[in-house]
Amino acid sequence: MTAGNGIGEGSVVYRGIKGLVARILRIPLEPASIPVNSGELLDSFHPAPGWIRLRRIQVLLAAFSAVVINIGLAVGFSLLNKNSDWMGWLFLLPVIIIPCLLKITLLRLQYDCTWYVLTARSLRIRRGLWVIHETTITYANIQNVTVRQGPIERLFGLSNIEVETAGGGGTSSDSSGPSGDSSHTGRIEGVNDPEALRDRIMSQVRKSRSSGLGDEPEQIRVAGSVGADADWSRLAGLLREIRDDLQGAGAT
Amino acid sequence: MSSETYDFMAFKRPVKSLATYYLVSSLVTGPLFPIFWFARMCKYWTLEYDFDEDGISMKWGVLWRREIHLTYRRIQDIHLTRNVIQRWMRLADVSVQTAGGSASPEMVIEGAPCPEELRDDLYARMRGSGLVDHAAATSGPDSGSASGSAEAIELLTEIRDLLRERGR
Repeated sequence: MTAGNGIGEGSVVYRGIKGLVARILRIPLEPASIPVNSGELLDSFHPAPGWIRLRRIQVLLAAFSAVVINIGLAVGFSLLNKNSDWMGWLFLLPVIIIPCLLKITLLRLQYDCTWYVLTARSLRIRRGLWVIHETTITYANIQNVTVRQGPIERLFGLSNIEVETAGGGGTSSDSSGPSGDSSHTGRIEGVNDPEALRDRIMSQVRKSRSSGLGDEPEQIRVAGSVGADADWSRLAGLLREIRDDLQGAGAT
Repeated sequence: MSSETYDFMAFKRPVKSLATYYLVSSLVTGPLFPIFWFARMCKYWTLEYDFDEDGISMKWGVLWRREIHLTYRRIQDIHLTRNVIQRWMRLADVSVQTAGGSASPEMVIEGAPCPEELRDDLYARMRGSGLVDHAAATSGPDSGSASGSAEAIELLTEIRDLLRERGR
């Protein structure tokens, strides 16, 4: 098992604060994991290190545009109505700036608490600080894999991988679903080499011969797949030998 | 593994701290608190789960009753969600989704005594998890295939040997 590819443990001060916050908010600091059969691969990792800087810039950009809109509105009102107390509209600025600063300071902790776990059969995603959300999806149920990259993400060389299972239903406003996402989606954010990860997931998805809707008695083959695969390759080898023998006999 | 220490099949009624959590979460709504609290307590009083070999059913409601049934095989994805208050009370929502079209989860299991272990037990029974107890629970109809392929190999070996003998 490999744990963490990231940016080290951080300074002593940071580790102290992290321990304290984690204890108060009951945040699990140990890596997420999935039960696997003994000997099977279990790989859990964080987003790529550039993810923190990316998120910082995204938060700053959002806050900046909100501030610009706010000032623009205030100036606009002052032009429309000369007597109005347009300075009053600026009270919104702290409402924008304070959460933004809080978000930026918490990003490092959020990074440490974001875990992606891949096994030979399934994946699990853990994210969040206030609301910790863990999604578990088996490859047998995956319908499609999407790789997304925005312009700012391209600057950092990062991509997002989205894994979808059957059943749509738009975005979930429900608090029990991940916000802004269909709850049938698992998102792996901030990946350095999306191709490798995408191939790794898709190769497992291709192995599953059912449609991923619980429609085929597949698990028996999955359970004994190592033996069954070996049998099939032996069968193919025998058939090949027979064909070669026949060809040889026909030639002479 | 987890199932040795805790049997999720025995889980019928939510834990008591769920009532406390409902109280706290209703307080957030402010003046509407009594209405929300009463509605949630009605759910708490009547909430019942039933886990069997094939699936889960849950039911609740006093005036408007509701029952949900689903099978482990049709589970698409499992979510475990905990906010700060729930973590303090060692509670969690285990949301189970099937391929139905709704964006919100088909079944949200609240007030499980060991939610993480319940989640892993459900995962073990999901399609494609490949865990040992899952295969043991559902083996049967297709078990002839292994001996079938062995027999096919034997037959093909015989054919090959016969062809080679004839070729000489």
